[in-house]
Amino acid sequence: MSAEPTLFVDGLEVQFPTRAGIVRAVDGVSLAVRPGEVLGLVGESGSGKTMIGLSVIRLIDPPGRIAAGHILFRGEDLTRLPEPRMRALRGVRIAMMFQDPMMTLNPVLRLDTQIVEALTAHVPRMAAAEARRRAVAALARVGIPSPEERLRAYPHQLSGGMRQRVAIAIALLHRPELLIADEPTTALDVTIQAQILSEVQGLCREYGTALIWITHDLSVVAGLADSVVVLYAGQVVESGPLGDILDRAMHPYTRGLIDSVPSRNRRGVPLRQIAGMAPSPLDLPSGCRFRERCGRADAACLAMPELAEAAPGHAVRCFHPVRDAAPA
Amino acid sequence: MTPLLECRGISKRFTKRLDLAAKLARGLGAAVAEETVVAVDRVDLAVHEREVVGLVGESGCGKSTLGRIAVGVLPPDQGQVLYRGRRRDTLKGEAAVAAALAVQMIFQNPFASLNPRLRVRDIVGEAPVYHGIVARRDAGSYVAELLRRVGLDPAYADRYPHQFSGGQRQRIGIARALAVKPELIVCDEAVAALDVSIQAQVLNVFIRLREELGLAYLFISHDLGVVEHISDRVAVMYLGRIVEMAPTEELFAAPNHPYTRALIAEAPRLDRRGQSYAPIVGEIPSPLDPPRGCHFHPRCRHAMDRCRQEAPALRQIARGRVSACHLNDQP
Amino acid sequence: MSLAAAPVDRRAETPWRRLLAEFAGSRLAVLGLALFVIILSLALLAPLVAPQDPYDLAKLDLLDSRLPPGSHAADGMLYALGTDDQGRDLFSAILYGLRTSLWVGAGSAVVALAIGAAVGMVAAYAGGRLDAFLMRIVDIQLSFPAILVALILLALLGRGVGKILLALVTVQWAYYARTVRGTALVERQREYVEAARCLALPTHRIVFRHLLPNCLPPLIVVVTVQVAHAIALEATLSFLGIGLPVTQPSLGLLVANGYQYMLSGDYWISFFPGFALLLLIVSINLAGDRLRDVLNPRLRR
Repeated sequence: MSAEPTLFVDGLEVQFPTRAGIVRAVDGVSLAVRPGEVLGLVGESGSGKTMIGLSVIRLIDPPGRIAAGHILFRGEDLTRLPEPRMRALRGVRIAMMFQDPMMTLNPVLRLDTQIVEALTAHVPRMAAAEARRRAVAALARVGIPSPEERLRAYPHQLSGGMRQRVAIAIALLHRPELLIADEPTTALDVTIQAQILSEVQGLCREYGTALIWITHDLSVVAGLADSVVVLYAGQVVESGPLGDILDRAMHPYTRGLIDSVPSRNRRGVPLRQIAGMAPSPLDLPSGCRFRERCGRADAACLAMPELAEAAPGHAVRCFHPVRDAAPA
Repeated sequence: MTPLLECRGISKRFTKRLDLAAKLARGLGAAVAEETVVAVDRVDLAVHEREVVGLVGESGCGKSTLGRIAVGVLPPDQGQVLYRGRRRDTLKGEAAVAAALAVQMIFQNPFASLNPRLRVRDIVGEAPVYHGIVARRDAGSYVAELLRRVGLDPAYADRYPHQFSGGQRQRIGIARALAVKPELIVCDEAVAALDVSIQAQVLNVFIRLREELGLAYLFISHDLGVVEHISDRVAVMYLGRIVEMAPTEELFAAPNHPYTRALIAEAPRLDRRGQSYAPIVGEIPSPLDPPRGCHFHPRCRHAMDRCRQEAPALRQIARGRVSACHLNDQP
Repeated sequence: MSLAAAPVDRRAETPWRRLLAEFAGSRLAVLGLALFVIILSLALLAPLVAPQDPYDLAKLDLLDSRLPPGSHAADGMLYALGTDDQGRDLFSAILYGLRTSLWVGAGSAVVALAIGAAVGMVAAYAGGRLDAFLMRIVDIQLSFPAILVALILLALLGRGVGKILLALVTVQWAYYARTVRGTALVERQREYVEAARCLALPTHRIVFRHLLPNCLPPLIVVVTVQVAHAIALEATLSFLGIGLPVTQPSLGLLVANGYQYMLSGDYWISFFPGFALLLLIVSINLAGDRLRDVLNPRLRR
């Protein structure tokens, strides 16, 4: 793989002032993705995973803000970019897909209007016929039957799965170098999910697009990703190649997640579960944020552990990482 | 043995009737017709005491509709629902109430399934007090006991739903269902909206309650991993029809129906690395216009002429296993 | 953006308390609310606060008519805002006028709310032909300008407080009916209503205990707007001379009385009642606007 990462996030901090205090949604996260690589960003509600995606594409609404850190896209720092330049990047070289396709699609416009608009916004001199041809091709590429007819439809006339495919088509229109997918298949059926995953995989292979797949579902990551970053309460707790994380996870939280997947448990018997709930962002424990739920915590965990490399390419933030191999 | 709950020949249709404007348009020659969706098509399903039956299928297959018919909030167009062998629609008075309370439901959306204006103790305590299951003065301790049973601190009884997380709200919903001492709980995608670790917790509550209280479940889900873990038997639905039903281990080890096979093949699994996704070709047909004959034939690799003409019936292919596929008829 | 892991509060936070906290986020709205409370208190305490009872004809002295603000009566009482053409202390008249305006405005809003909410809930829960029939009546009602309907009614019925109330109620109930019906239709599909049906609770209990309280938030917004609207409407009708009788002046009537003297320089007779009316309506609207923003489900979470 080529050396220079498409995206390099360094020490990102995102904060929200609220009635009850400042919420540190993202607290010092670093990650990197190379061209053609798929990074699985795994975390549950409140881990900050969505905020990271929104920070990269600079769609965080005030009063939230990027408080610190750099986001380097092919060497250019996106946090310092003026908005007009960011707009030129958004949708063309960096694209994002959301869980709800209606965050991409305008319910009152026909599909052809929207897709053509997405095309001509960045290539102003495109002829109408050419734009239409490309719109049809885009829909065909995501497997939508009779695309010429479908173009004349409104979003509400399509099923949920189709809408998500149209949203993907729009994200892929300009062959972006970086695609951020925020749980796009969580609400979809298995068969539609498989179709979407195959589209996205094809894209990465064909055009060298770097993909960040944000999810809480490890099973999808298992089939798709090359490397994994695990988030908890706004911090990276573990990162490394896919095989390392799934077979030799060291952080108790990652182990807990993997162990709680039904297929890893004996049928009919209670699942192994992680006790308790994720801490409220306004009420974080001192030291290691996972210690109140961790079976291995002791007095040492009252200090904040640093993210340190424990095996080649495999980093973990823990004073007592799990070293034995995960049971199959 | 008489099943606890049995659905016989259940069919349910949803018709979008034409209003005045549309009727006028049709009179003037516009191509407007009444749209009918056959949500459930002649389904037989039984749940026995202490049994967990999993119901899988994708959006639009009718599993949620079937769940609601089983609970009794939606009346079927055809067929009957029998509670302990007696037709539920012919029961009257106390027997009818007892049958209604015996089957409860847990919903998918933890944010919409609790009345936001009521405190937890009223949400859980209202029905048992109304039906006389517990006296009003004992309601407080009854609710506290229920909350403990689902793993919540009884001190939370004073709070309002918006103060809880999704997983906690699902537990409150479970407590509400348990309050009327049901025998069967229909779980309609009850864990689909939850994070993986919370999902495990709530599933464990279900498993534990089953052991402690001898409950039966009809577990509706599109997540095969979850269904495989918790069910004794699994039924697979496609466009309103049950296409296969078998004990869990047999279904997942050796699925018979092509749709079941495809579903199992495509579900992402933790041990399947670098999966190259080769999805089922073709669209899920619209329930407004299902294909003739076998509903699955447009997407089936093995489709024959017979499949296009004749809908296959559910036939027994082994002990306790049924499947609706013409391929099984071939020697 | 939403923060998914919501903290669990230490004590029970009722939905109303949460509402108040969010409401207080806007200083302008709090100002409006404070202003309204001041006006309301003054109006309620009018018999105690007003220097003079403007309805007591014995106390009025025609010789004191049309005195400018700051003048004094023969017995030394200060006419803070001047007097009107009948020798009434304008400040007292405004306080009593506020009472009438508020009582008519709020009273008609409450009655209209009760009728409209009942009609809307019935329409939403019953559905079908009854729903269509009731909503067509609502549509017809709403297609007429409010003032026109009020004028016609009052022309037929004559003057008097009761008749004004009737006219205002007739003009307002349709808004409530439509709003409630819309909300009830949505709430009826929600899972908590399904859950109540699973639990075999009777229909009336579901409608009143589960459905109705959840249909209230949009109604609150409509009420605040409509109260202001009713007050303004009543003022207009009084100004036109077909509203309240002369013996029970409302702010509108005071403005009307003083209108003829505007050009001759005795501006205060119309101006101060008009200004009081303005303050009242603006304060209600400020508070109502904030309520609408706070209660808008799409802006939350």
